[in-house]
Amino acid sequence: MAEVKQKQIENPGCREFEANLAAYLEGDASPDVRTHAKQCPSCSFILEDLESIRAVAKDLPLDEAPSPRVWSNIRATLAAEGLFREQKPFWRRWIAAASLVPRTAPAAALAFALLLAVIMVFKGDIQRNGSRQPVLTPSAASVVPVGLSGVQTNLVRTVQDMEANYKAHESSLDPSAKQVYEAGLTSLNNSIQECLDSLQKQPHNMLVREYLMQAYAQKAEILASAMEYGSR
Amino acid sequence: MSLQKPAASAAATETQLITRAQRGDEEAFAALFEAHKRRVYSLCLRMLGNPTEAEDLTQEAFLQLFRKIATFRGESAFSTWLHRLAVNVVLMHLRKKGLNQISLDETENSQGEPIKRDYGDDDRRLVGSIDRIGLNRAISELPPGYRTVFILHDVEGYEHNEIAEIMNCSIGNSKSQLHKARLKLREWFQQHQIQFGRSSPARVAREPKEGE
Ligand SMILES: [Zn+2]
Repeated sequence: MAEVKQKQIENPGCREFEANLAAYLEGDASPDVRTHAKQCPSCSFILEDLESIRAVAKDLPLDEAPSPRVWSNIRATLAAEGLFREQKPFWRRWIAAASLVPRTAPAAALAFALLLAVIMVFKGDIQRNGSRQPVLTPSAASVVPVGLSGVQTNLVRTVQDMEANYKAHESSLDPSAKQVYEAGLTSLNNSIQECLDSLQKQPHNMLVREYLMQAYAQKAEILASAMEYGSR
Repeated sequence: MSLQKPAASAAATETQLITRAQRGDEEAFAALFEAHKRRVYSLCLRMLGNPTEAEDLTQEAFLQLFRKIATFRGESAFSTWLHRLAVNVVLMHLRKKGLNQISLDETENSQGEPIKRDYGDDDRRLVGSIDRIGLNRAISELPPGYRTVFILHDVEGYEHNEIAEIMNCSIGNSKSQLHKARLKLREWFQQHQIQFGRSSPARVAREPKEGE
């Protein structure tokens, strides 16, 4: 193993250099330090090294971001403390947090089209296997699939609450409007059911999971729209 | 959306966000968190060296900030305010663990200690090998008191009078602690060069990596 040879400083100039170095680096010392370093390689290395450390430190990159749990904890705490006085509709918060629904309408439409396309594919697959149960009971949609993140689970629960709310008030809806909402909800419930079926067979299929969450998000949009309409 | 001077419009946006947060707009809180989370987290992580602790304290700093946001009147820049708050949160935490105190004894005793030198080896300059990755590691291995002063001064850009106030020590103390921290960092590079670099002069000449 190599060892660092260390000696006491022999040159008085070096001793003075060391004594003044800290102050020099702070910018408030005599130029003796620089002058000595010019004649003394050993001291000049020290000076260069320390200046380099200072320069690199100024320029250190930021670390990666903290994990999403930090914001979700902050959010939950602030909400519990009542700091959010101006709130977005609660269902929209979950959707935003789940980052599932693109904000702009054309993108949302595209996502929905993609969803439908995938569901068609699954449908074919499922029909070939003949294992699908076509009966969709209201409780089928109230299952929270396993393996979801906290935010996703919240979205699913939120949609369930919204649906219960909708059911409680659907009689007050204008019949023609109700028909439109029902059609949309039925189609989405079917999509959700098919995704759930697929997930039972392939629990780790992330694509199916993503489409499932998109279907929930779409459902939240429809239910929210129905509730807004109903409250007019 | 108009395209104006980015700095001015960014500041205007931040002022708007603060006003909205003061009204209790959740999205504004979220946007302020997004804008500053990296810097606060980096500070915490560097000072603590532990990602879980760093996240906990990032959370604590933002919570304290958001609870007080109604009192923010713009006397200082928002980021300065937040940053100072984060530093205090971290120091409080270190203090609880008994870690951040600057030791006065140590400061006085080691005042005259000579700097480690390697005589007779002309290639022992480190300049080329002092890079960001190494420095990050070296900082994480500094004793806590040195680490705090070094991070506050050389990384975060605080002045010694501010550090003295934050750390409750004298300005001279802050200065000598900083100098010793830098020397310790240099020793770290010396040791790692001995371990890995002595037989490969290319390493000595290597430039720090850019753009990371
Ligand atoms: Zn010298």
